[in-house]
Amino acid sequence: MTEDQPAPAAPDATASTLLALARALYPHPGIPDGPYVRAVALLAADAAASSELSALVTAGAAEAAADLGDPGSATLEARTAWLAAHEGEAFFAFVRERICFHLYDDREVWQLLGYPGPSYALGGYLHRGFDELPWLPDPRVEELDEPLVEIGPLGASAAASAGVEVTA
Amino acid sequence: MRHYELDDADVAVIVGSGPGGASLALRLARAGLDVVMLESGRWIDPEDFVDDERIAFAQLSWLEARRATGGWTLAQDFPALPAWNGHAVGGTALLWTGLTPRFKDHEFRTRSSYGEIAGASLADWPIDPAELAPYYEESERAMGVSHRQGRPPMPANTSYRVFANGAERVGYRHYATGPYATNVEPYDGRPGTIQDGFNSQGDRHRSKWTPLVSEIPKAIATERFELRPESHAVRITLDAAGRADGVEYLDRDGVLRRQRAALVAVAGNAIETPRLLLLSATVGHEHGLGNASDHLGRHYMRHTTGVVYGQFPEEVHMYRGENMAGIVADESRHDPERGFAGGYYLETISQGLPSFTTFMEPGGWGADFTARVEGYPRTAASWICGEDLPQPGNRVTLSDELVDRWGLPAPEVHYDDHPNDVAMREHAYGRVEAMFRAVGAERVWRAPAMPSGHNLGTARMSADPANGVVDPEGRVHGVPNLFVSDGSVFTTGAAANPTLTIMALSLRQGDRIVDTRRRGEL
Repeated sequence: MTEDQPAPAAPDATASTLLALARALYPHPGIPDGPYVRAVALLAADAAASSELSALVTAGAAEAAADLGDPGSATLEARTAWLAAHEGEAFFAFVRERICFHLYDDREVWQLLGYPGPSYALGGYLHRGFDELPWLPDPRVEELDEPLVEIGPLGASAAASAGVEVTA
Repeated sequence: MRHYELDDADVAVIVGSGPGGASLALRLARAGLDVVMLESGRWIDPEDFVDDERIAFAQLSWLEARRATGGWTLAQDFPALPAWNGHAVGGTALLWTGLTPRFKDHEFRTRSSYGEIAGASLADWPIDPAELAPYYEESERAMGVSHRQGRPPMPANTSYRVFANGAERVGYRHYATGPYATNVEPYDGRPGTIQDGFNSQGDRHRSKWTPLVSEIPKAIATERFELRPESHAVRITLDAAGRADGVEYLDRDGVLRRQRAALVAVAGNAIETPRLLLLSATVGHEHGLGNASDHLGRHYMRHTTGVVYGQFPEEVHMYRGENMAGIVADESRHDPERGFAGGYYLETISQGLPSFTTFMEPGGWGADFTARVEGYPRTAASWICGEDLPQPGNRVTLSDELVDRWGLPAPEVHYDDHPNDVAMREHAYGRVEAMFRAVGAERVWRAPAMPSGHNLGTARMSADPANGVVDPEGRVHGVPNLFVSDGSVFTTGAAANPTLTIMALSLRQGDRIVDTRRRGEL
């Protein structure tokens, strides 16, 4: 999904409720409505594949709208609380999964979050920083020329790690 | 490409074009046997691979109906996708990342090394590790594995720099960028990597070894090999004497065909292989081929896995470079003092934003989730790959309800963690957290298993027909010219990523088949 691609429209009331829920499911203050609107439209298109899913989405959105008043002007806290109260339900499961799937597959979101996406046409990262990490020393890349302990505890050199707490 | 007639009864039919099937095919064709390979998926030219996680997932993955059941997290998180397999020429190698550690000797003898463990069906492999050693070496050459057989090491990418420094600071010594089956520099007619970060999307550049860019074209060049893509095997047929005499398959138009065969080798991965043997049940083999002792489909293994993410004050850009070119081997030892049997590797893993948001907390949402998403550029990750214990109840069965697109019973994959698996995973999680904290992580968190790329054990190898499905050559007990040539034959799974061992076993099996045939016994 690209940012200039027209998105299929969901019925207005359902779509605006889903938009309000999507922004509460994955709240990124720095991301404008556009990607969320596109994710909702794609969700609606997914739901349209089955009358059961369409009904589930329409009914769930109607319930949210009824509970929240105007979902678009409900606070983030109120929408989040509504979602938490419905977390085990089929409507929540479908909407959460689809919004997560589509929102983070949106090129504008990638750009805003710092994921450049395809790299092949740019020559990969071989000459564009695949090894750039200035804040740590250069590590060894070859295997150590020393036998690996295969059975039993590590040798003395590794016992130095004993000071590091292990959660187990 | 050579063409064989359906009623040519003198061909070896191999089902599946992944590492196991393709390595066997090339071996047999070069030895002068005639080989027909049936592959369920399409031929996709590397130029058509896409450096986009979602598009490539849909293009390359096995997405037929499946179901995960049992206590493992996958049954909750991804119930329709217990495993991540390839569905195209080249098989799951199209998705793999390329680490190739060998088994350790004691990992071929786990029952003797670990002792009796309640609930586990441990057994020693019926083969001598020394006998496999030359095949390991040959497999490393075939794949052009870095750090091995004169191949240079992979350079350090950003993920590895975090990972290796963390390893060093907690006292680990055996860390490196490989062995890794991707060209650092040109080798075997394929170019060196451009570090584009899309290994699991097929690798357009052909630097990563897969059968699609190596064994398959080489087999075609022998003129003793025919590849039939979009040919989904549905049944192996036996003659009156109980020998395999053909394979029925559905072609791209859904038409049922039958290729006659002198011998059949099944290499469909540890889910589809037992499924095909179960679907081939017939008179005298009422519970499936090779299932007289009720081991077929059982002892399914998928490695004890999990992911730990670390977020740092400074940027990492984990999407840059080879996706899994980093490994720590110190914990791969068997050291019961840690509270579990067997060992595990720690491996770097990089994910693009779509995969990261799918797997870093399956089902997650809300402000805490998005805070971590916003830290994506400052994130590194490590994947745990440890030996899980075989259990008879962990198994692949034919579904009573679910069918695939051809109307055949879909596979159900049932898996419960063994307490040993849980203890190992806990230990490993803690070690990665310590590594990331040692290099300044502000936040670390644990994520559960992803759909299994490593699928093993469902046609286990045993010397005694009462204890398994195939003999030490991978020949199905009770059907003298039927072979299994993939990770299904693993008696136990070891800690190592399995592809190298799958190839080594296939090459060894190929030599045995050629010898047997030359003696006129096959």
